[in-house]
Amino acid sequence: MKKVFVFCIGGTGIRVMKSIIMLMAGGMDTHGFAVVPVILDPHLDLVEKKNLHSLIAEYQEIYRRSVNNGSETLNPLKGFFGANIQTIDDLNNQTNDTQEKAGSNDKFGSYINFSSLGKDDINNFLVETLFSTKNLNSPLSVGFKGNPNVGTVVLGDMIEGAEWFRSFKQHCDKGDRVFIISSIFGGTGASGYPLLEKKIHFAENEPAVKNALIGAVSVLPYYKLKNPVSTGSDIDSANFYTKTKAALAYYHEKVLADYLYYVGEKNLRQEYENDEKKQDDKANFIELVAASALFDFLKREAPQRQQFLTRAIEDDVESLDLISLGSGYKDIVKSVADFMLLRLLVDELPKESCFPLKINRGLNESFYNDSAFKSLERFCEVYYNWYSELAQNKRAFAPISYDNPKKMGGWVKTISLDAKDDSYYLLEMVKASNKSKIKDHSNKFRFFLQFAGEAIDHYTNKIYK
Amino acid sequence: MARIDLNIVDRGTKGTDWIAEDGCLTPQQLDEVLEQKTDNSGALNSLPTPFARFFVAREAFRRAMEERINRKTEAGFAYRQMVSDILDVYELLFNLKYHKNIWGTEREIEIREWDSNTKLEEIRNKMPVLYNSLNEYYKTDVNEEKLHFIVFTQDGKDLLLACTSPITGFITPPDMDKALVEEGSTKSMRIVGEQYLDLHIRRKSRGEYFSDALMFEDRDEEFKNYMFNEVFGSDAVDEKFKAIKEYIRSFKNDPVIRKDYKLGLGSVKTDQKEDLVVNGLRILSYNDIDVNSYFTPSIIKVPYRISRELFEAVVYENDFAERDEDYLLPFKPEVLALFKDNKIESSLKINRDSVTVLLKYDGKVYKKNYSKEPMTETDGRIIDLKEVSISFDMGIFPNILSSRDNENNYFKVILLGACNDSDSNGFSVDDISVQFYKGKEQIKELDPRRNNARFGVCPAVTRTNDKKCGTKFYEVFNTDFNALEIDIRGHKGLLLPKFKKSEMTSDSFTYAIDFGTSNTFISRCKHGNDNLPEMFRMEHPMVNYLHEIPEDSQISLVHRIENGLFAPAQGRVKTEFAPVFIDGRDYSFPIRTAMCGQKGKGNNPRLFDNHNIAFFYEKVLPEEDQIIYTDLKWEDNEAMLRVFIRELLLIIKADVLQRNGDLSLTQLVWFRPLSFMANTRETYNEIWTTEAEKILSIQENQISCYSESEAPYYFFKKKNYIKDTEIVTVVDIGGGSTDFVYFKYNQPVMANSVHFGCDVLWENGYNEFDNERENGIFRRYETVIKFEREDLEDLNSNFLRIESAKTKDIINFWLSNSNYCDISKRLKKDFKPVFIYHLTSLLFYMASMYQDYKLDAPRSVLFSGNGSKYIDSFISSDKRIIKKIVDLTFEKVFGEPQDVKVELPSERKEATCYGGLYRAPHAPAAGTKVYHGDVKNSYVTVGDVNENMNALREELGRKYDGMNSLYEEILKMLRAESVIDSDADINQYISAAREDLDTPLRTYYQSQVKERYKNDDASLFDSVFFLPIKDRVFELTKLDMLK
Repeated sequence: MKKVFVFCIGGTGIRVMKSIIMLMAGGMDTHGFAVVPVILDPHLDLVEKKNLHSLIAEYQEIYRRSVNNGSETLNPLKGFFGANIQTIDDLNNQTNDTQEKAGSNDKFGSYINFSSLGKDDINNFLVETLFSTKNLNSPLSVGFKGNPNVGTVVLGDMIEGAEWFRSFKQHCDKGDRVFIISSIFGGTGASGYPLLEKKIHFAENEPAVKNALIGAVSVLPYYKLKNPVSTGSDIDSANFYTKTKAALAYYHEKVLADYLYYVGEKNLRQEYENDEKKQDDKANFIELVAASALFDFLKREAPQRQQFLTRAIEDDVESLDLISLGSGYKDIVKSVADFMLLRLLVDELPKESCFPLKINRGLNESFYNDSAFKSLERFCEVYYNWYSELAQNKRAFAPISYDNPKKMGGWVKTISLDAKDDSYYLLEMVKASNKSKIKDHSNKFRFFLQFAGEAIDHYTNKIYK
Repeated sequence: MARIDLNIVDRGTKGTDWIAEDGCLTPQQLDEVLEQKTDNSGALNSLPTPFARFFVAREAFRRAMEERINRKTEAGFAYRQMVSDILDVYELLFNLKYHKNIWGTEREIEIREWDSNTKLEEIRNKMPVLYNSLNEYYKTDVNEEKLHFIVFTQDGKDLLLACTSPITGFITPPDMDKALVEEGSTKSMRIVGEQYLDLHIRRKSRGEYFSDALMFEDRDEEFKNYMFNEVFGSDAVDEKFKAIKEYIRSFKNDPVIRKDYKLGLGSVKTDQKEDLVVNGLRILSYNDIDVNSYFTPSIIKVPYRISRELFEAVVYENDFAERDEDYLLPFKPEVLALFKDNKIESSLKINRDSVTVLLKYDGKVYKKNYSKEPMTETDGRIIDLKEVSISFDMGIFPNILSSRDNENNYFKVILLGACNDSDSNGFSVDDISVQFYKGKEQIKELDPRRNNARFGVCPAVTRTNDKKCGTKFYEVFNTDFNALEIDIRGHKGLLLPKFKKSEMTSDSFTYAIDFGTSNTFISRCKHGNDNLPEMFRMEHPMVNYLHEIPEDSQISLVHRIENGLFAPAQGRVKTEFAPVFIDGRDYSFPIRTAMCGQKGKGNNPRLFDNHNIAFFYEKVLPEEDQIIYTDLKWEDNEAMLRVFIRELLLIIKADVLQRNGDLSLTQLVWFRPLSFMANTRETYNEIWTTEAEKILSIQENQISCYSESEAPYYFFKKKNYIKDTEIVTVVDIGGGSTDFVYFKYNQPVMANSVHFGCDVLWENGYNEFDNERENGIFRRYETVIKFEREDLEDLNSNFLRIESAKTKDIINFWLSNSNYCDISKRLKKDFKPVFIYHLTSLLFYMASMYQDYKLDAPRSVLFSGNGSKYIDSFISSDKRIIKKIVDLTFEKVFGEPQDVKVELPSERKEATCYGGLYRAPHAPAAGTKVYHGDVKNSYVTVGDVNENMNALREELGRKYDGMNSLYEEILKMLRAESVIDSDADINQYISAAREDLDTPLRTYYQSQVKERYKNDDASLFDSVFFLPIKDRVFELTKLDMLK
């Protein structure tokens, strides 16, 4: 199976990866690529990073249970959880999480062995020119705090010596792809992207790596932070555009990606707390769009020349629905609408005592208490929260109206679905089950996902029309 | 609503799918991005390269430029500050000369080279992680073989101010960034790095570097033109500099920026002595006249007014009558180059707690504030000498310049310094120093004896290092000077003396100097139509002191000048320096021939440095560390003589110049006693010739030497005291010698001199102890002489107390001040027989000599010399009585009555000097005879005398008998004339006089002649006749006439 190594650099990388996973869960097509997320962030204790690891694990569990057929593995489903996610550790058959090592408790000064310079060594002046005392005293465990100049030094070293990078190079096969997600206006992402790209592009000893098709999404400013003058933070979002411009000017003729996706906002609408340690920013539409870049990249062939990609929305409105998003977003809307419907089913079905598949397909209480379903429940919960964030953020991605299960014709805003309530979907699941001639497995969980997917698609397919 | 790109710019993407394009976001597209202002410097490191700072600086200029184009697109505090900081680096280097001037040695800027070829390798070894990153980006991002660090050193601590950058010229270190911090409702600026908290460098214009943001438009005109025209004016500036260049060039319409603006620029040097060039940009420094830099960092305030008449001083804008303080000019000597003739255009304004000094040059006014506690780096400090308990004054001698440069070849400067608080600061005169300038050039300190220097300043000599008042001397040789930089404990100020200018005329003068044993006279006569001679006196001071001379017609000018000095200094200048001037009252000739020396320096006397003429002698006491030498004339101390004569000649020179005379035409006459030994005479001749040539620039043929004996004759003749010129003899009685010259028809026939002056009356015979005090006159009066004037009484007490004071000096002191005590009255009453004995011996000797040499008795006898004053003062002022003594003498010796005219002219003491002026230079000199009392044998050499001693003793025995007999007759005649009281016991004098003279003759011949003249062939110029007489005078002083 072809792989796409998705390098998620920094906080934005993590959040975009979350959106990728959500879209994958909702059935976005990876065109046969297994997604190998590589999280690159020196934050050792970042909650978002840990949550992402959990989410990946949950996804993998769901995926694994959907393809598991005892000793054999079934083909991935079409639709929900239809694409595989593998971690570097999976490729290495390791149980240790090498990703956790992509960080350090050292202060930057110690990390570069600054104290080795004698008092009168003129190189002190060079270091003083390049880095502030605060830079030198900053523990790397909290990231680079908007200082890509520091990030470049540290990440450069971390990448070069990292186990995961060696694993990546080892497991990157011909035809595999690389996709890099980073923000341009922060610290870690801004420094990590060009570094990683260089490392990959100039991996002379690993031709598969060197020749891998590279896609990258450079997330441009899309949110702002509270005024650092009052918070004491080193990060000033007022600077984001300037930093971006400086970085883009610097990147000019330096970026190497075959496909470089830009996504951002002309106006920063949402203001987050200015706390680098937490970074518990709500999911944002731009991250979702950035996530969509991966799927776009995976469907493209190698270009003749470097390609720079952007996309628009149809209407510049605060809350986006299918119409205002524009037709290009139908797959995303459908993916989200579908998964939100799945979540509804996951929530409703265990309460349905007369559901025919309870007997026909064993979707009984035991099934609902099984770990696979429990994983799915948990995933749905995370998904729900994710979407809620998207729907409430600025700008809001809110094409779904999910408040009333009994009035589900308007599930997808701007169009009317034939299914007026949840019973339509349950019925369609039964129909799907009845139509199914599959004899090669008895995987109830797979059946559940398959029939739910087909039922939902039966109605939501209207989105494409 | 309209479609919109999900991007920071709207490129008009079609559809809502991902649309691929060949091109990335272009700079033009990026320019459309509306940026927000940022106030947070911590957010500036935006690029994924360790060299992000270089690019951030570029962004700062780009943002500043955008702000210039559109005020609404504010760059924000952080970028504005960064632009300002970088401009500060340019400006600091541009004004480097100015700042170095201000900083002195306390602060320093150094440009240290960092060579990537070697230094990166060092980083590789020590910091491999950093190296890997630097190495990866250096070539693409920096690509300069060398970087330079601008390092500011203060208190021995280095602070990095900037690093050179190929993109913006310089970048400042991130620790120098500032952040706005909000505490409560207040916002304040904070510098990021603690190491920069104490960084305070004042800009030349205003504000502080690296502190307050000063954009280009608000900077100095010179700097703007430098940046616009010199740094970024060329098309050849590397494209990397685009952002800063566009920013700077956007000021093309700035009203002060002109293409033709002229700036004197010089290169800025690195620590490798190379020009600082950054990516092709030559970084330059403003080398033009920096008038601000001519201000001294401190201004010295003195607690008195500085004389505007004698020094160029500050001009007050708001002066007031009661002002009793003043300021030295707070300028460095370089300022002299800006103004002609020391006419520095400056003024001083007195403020409440400070002063403002304005310097006007080239149509501009530069100013500097001075206060006791300066608040800013550019403000200076007032050094109030009064507050720091320091007294200071100074004097310059001479204060007049000749119109001929070569004649301005000697100046002496005395510094007077004292610490008024013995505990406070340990100040001494050594804490004061002076640098001399001619024009703008410093006159270097060189030792002429060692360096073969053509001109210069002799190394300073501290003569007295006394806290009460120390003195330090500088000697400027073979040049004049127009400015002095005074340094008092590192604080400097300028003094511009106003020398009087001699306007040379055709006038010229002859000076006659009678360097006598007791007194020294100088007389002067203007060349030309038989001008009357005059005793030397001057019209104007010859020393310039710093302090103002108060107006007070009741007080003499000398006193006003001397009393203007701080109290302990008054004594020092009187005893160690040239007198203010010879005004004829406070300082006048004759003076006691006395030298003041610093104890312990007698072996190497140097004028003013340790010795000088004791003009003050008998007027004020010497200081404890001083010693007075009174036996100069006859002592074999050439160096001491030279110093004495040198000072006299310097005073003469000042006098000639004050009188606008032609110094080169000056003539000198000096006198010698006939009794000088040949080598002594030669020594004197050499001193007079060489010193006169050195100081007056005159040749040997302008210097005449006459015998002391004959000179008075010419004066008396000129004054018509000599009516009958057939045979005249002049008896010149000095302190140490008496000269006799025999004239016949105005021609000198014979001259004779004996080392027997009036001083023997006050001395102790041949007692070899200087401090012997057995003289009878002294013993009689030492406790009874009282002075009406308190100062003289004090002086007398001190004389008596000082062991080294000789009886001769003390009695001379009494006599010099006889107007204030009764010494004359007492001497006349108590010691008349002694004076008569002294006079009798001289007259008898003279008469015997003339008789032995077959000369006729003179028709006239003229007394001259200061010593002869005892005749009319203590014997009789009745000329008839003196004539009777003279007649008796010649009758006694020649065996028949004589009628000799006696003259005791009032100008007796000046007669030698004056006579020297009237003697025709080529007039024949008198033939000198040495007369021992016998002419039957030849007594030319010591050997001759030794050989004929017995015959001589026999003859002298007869002569002494005759003399004693004459003495008896004179005493009796004087008692008959009631010149001597009838109850006076004259017999004891007669008896004492008749006592054995042969024994003392033999004794003192042995000690005074044989032991001194080791060589029998030596000519004996002095008469042995008076050997026992001197002792006998001493013995007679011990008698009491009234007993």
